[in-house]
Amino acid sequence: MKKTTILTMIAAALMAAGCDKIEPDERLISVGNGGDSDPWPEGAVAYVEKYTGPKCNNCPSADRTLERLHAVYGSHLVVVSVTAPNHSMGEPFPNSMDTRVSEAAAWENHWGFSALPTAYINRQGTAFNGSMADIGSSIEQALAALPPVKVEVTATADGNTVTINTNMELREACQQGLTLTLLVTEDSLKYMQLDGTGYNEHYDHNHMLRAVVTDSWGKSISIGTEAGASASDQTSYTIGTPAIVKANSHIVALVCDAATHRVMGCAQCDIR
Amino acid sequence: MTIKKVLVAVAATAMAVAAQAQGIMGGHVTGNVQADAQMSRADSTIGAREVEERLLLNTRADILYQNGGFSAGLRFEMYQNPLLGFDAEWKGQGLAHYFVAYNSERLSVTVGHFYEQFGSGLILRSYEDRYLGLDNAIFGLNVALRPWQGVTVKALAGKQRHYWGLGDGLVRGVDAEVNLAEAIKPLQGGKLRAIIGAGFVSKYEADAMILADQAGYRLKLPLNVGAGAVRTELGWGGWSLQAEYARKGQDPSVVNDYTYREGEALTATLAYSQRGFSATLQAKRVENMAFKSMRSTPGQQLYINYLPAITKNHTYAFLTMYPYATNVMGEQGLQGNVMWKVKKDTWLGGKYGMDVRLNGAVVCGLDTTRTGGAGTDGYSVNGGLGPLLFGEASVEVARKLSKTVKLTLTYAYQAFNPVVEGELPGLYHNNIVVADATWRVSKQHTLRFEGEWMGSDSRRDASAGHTDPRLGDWLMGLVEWSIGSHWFVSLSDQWAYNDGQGNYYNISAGYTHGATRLQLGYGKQRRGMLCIGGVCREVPASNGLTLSLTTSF
Repeated sequence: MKKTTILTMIAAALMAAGCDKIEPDERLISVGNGGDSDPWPEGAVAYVEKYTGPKCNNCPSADRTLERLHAVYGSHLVVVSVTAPNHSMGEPFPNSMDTRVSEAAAWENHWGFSALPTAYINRQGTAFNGSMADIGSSIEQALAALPPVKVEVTATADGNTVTINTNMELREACQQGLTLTLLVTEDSLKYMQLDGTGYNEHYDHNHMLRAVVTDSWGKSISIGTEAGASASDQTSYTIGTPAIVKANSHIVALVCDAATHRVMGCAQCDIR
Repeated sequence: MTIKKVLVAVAATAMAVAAQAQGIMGGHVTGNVQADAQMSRADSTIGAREVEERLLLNTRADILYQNGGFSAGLRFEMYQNPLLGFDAEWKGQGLAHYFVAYNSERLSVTVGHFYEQFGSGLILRSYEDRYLGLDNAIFGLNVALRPWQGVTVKALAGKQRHYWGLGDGLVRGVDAEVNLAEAIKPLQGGKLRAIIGAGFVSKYEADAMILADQAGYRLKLPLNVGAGAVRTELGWGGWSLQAEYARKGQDPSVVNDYTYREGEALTATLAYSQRGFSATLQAKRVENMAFKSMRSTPGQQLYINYLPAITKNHTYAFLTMYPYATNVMGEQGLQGNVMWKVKKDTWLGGKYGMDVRLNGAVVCGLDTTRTGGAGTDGYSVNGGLGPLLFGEASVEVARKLSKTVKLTLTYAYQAFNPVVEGELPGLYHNNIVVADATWRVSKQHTLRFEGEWMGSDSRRDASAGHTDPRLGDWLMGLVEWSIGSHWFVSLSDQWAYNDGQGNYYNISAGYTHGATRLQLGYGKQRRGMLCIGGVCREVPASNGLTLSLTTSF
């Protein structure tokens, strides 16, 4: 009898403590919007590299999540959507736009993911899949501290030639080798996308990677190792193939650890 | 010193002492080793990519020491680098599993990694399947008490293995089972077999920033999620009935798009068997029962529970080409099986008798209406059936034609909805015929011939961008030559036609000696799905060598 009582009490305690119930009117908590009440440090940036494909049925739900995240984090969030060059879901539909960029194949092989969509924050740690509604926690973690490298980038167009100026400064001592990778992204690309219940011929693709200006893993930069050390870079990019709409395009500058490819600093600008 | 280091030290010391003391202290050491290697080169015709590492290798070695009620075990694993189709996060090597356990008539205690199951697994099943790249072992404490005859009470707590680390979620559970035929004296030795059981599992996971569908809001999450189940097993003579019902509290996760509707599941199996005949009828309904110890982990990792499949596990190639994957968000289905051994020296059974197996299964989704996204209940359930997800009817006849020849013929009809693999809804109808003949040429030589055909209405629609390499009709031939009890050589080819694409040939040879088996193969592997018990992983295309070594001691 004593044994029964003890066991029953343990089971009852576990069951009572083991289940939370949230009423419908208690499920939502307001969050910041990146405006005046911006709670994140100035200069804090999280880079989200998201792999997608026109035949990826679940990718639009991730797109919608990232758009909502933009509303929350504003310019603190830089997103690049990469059409997975090696993945069958990355293949374009017949007579539809092909947004695969060959340099991205090296990234896809490096990460070795098999599912789409897949995203990484600052090219490290956990991969996010599905609707990515859970990515917010990790973005907040990434924004809690300033990136080790401060990056500023500007892009000026003269006809089809875009001059990209990048300034980099170490916020803290840094012993590892660094690389600079420059990317061209474009918004408002309309082409066929599998979307949940069917095909959407005019799906609006944003943040799409259109070109890698440097090599896949970037070019080495000489910046020194002490906090406060700085370097600058000027690179020209000629708009050709693919043709991009300058008004919808951006330059993304990534400063990465040369060995691990972790993003140490990031900036994005419009092409003016 | 961390708990991990202490446990590894205790397990390793116990084994070292045991290894020296076998025959003196008693006890014994057993183990097994498995190594699977793969080389693949680029092949644009099937979509295979070049393997940069040239050689991929999955290796594991289990060592178990037992002495009376005491046991300790270690498992070394190495994925350098993981075989194609295994998550890159498996890459690495080290001691992946270790435990120390004590087992007596009244008490079992395990400290370290352990596998456990409550009932049929609807609320808790930790297990591993090396072929799926799945290991959700719990690292913690597992206790089983048997206070009275026929009564077992289990309690456990711990975290689940997640690749080379542990998931953040904490899993706690209790389960009680009473075997009435043992616990109640008047029932002992009687015809009635009756077992009742109940369990409860709770997981705790810290808060996280999950966005709601409504812009500008995040979710208030339930940090403790509970699931409970009741079950029974009844038997009388040749009849038996097993049933289990489970219910899960609010559990917003990546699987259900962070919605709050509670989950439930019901399984029931009615079976009858007598000499030469058996039949089973299974029913299942599952709704929103993905129960994971980390809410944001996609894929097959960190499942606390398991939802058993109610479709037949096949072994023939074309019968497994469109396998059924359990839809954890919602499905309902029925399966029936009949096995009949026709007696020999009868008109139907002939000189040697005949085995007949019939199987039928139908699985439908739930009829639901979407009511919102993250932060809402997600959907409401209507009364009817949802879309057909999978249907199958098969008949298998196995008959010995002579002293040296045995023939097995199978016909199956399958209806498959690609929506279960994340594709657009549709329905493929497949007719499959398999002939499998084994001819014992002499005492030392046996030949096996297998021919398969699949006619399918799945067609390649270029405008829809179809790339599934399984589409179209298929033919397959296989010849296998076994030499004595040691050697075998096998040749096979799968060829797609009638709008299908691909020619997948394979040659393999193997040598078996005692508990050691070595197999070498070369050929092409079609991209597809590997499913075991309704749990699946994608298998990418490959073209190259495979080598497999298994041994035990």
